[in-house]
Amino acid sequence: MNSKIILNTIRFFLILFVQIVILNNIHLLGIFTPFIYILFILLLPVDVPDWFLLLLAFITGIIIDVFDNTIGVHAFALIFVTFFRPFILKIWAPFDGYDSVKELLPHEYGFGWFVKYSLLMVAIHQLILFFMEAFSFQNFALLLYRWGINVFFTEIIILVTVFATERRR
Amino acid sequence: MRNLLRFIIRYNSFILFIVLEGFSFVLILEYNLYQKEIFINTSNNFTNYTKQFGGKIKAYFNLKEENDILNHQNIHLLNFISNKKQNNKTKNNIDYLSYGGNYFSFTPGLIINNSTHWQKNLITLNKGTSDGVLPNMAIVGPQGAIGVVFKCSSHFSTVISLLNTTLRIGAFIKKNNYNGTVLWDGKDYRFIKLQDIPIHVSVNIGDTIVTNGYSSIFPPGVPIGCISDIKNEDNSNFYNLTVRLFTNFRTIRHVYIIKNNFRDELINLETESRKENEQ
Repeated sequence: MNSKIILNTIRFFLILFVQIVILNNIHLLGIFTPFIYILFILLLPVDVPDWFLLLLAFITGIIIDVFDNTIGVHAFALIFVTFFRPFILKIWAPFDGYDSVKELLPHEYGFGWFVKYSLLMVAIHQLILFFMEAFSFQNFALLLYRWGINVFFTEIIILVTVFATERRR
Repeated sequence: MRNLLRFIIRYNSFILFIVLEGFSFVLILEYNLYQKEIFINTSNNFTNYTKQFGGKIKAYFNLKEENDILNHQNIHLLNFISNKKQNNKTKNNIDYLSYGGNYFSFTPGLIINNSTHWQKNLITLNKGTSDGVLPNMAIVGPQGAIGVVFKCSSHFSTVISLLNTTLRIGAFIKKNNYNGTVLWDGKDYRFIKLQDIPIHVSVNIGDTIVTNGYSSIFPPGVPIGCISDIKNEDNSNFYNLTVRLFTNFRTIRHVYIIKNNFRDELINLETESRKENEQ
């Protein structure tokens, strides 16, 4: 139990640090900035209560916002997607349910499962994020274009990160 | 109470979700100028269009009365034209319609939002800058003065109603041309006050009050109301006159927006003269 808390706390600071110091400064092709801080929410254990999950999402979002000068936008998107996390987990639950000892990682539940889960979460998050940032239905096609590109690359970065940091048995 | 608590406990995560999302949304609007701007514009447009829709429905209930008033005005205009044709003199009859021509131009407008129960009542019209409406134009209804245009967007404009304690309009008693100021005391939407009429002037109940046109906003001779109460307070050299408004501000709907085509010229001349006069 304790080791889980410590692991997630370290993960929290590490992900925020990387996001703020490195990834926030990347603007590939002028439209792509990887927002991988959602990884922290993705990897939180299944037995975290919903209200605590939402609070963590709010804190994470606000911290990112403060450093990105977009007070509220990231927080809004992250809280939104976090609220749907339990439902999304339920859609693709394994036959015998989730084991709270296991982490939500590909080597526990399979590669396909992790891609589905993370892709849907990232897609919702980025859609809300871009919509709140544009805040209008004008240029909706451009918004969708940016959304598609960002979801694709963010997903790749998340997968690479997960595989690169996975503890091998 | 217990049910409420049970509800909150049962849906705690959903309620927390709504609260946190609401809070972030407020933060977005509060700290991001761009989103704030869009939100305010959109909601303004939305409320105006809704009000316009509500006004359309409400209009049906007043249709008959409205028709009667417009009918009366038509008869008045017809009489006026035929009178003018018969005797071209129209002596001592200052009527704003006689200015007509190219001095004042008229645009019809429709009231889509109106209030009478505040101290500073505003009216919203369905005409804006795209129809040539600009601030400081006069608004006149079929029965008399309504107010002055305050602010305009491209399709709507707000009007400072006569029932607004900040609006003062120059007016005179029609029968003897003594000048005073008309303003609202914020109490009753049917009555308005006329000030600055000295006590040596003879006034009677029922005397008509019309605008004097000095301000270059209203044309001269727009009817306002008739005197309904005369009071002479002690130690005062002026009457305290109550005027009953001709216009019922609760039901008014069709108005005319009056533009003074020479207003800029007039004001320029006056300010220049004032400057040189002071030197």
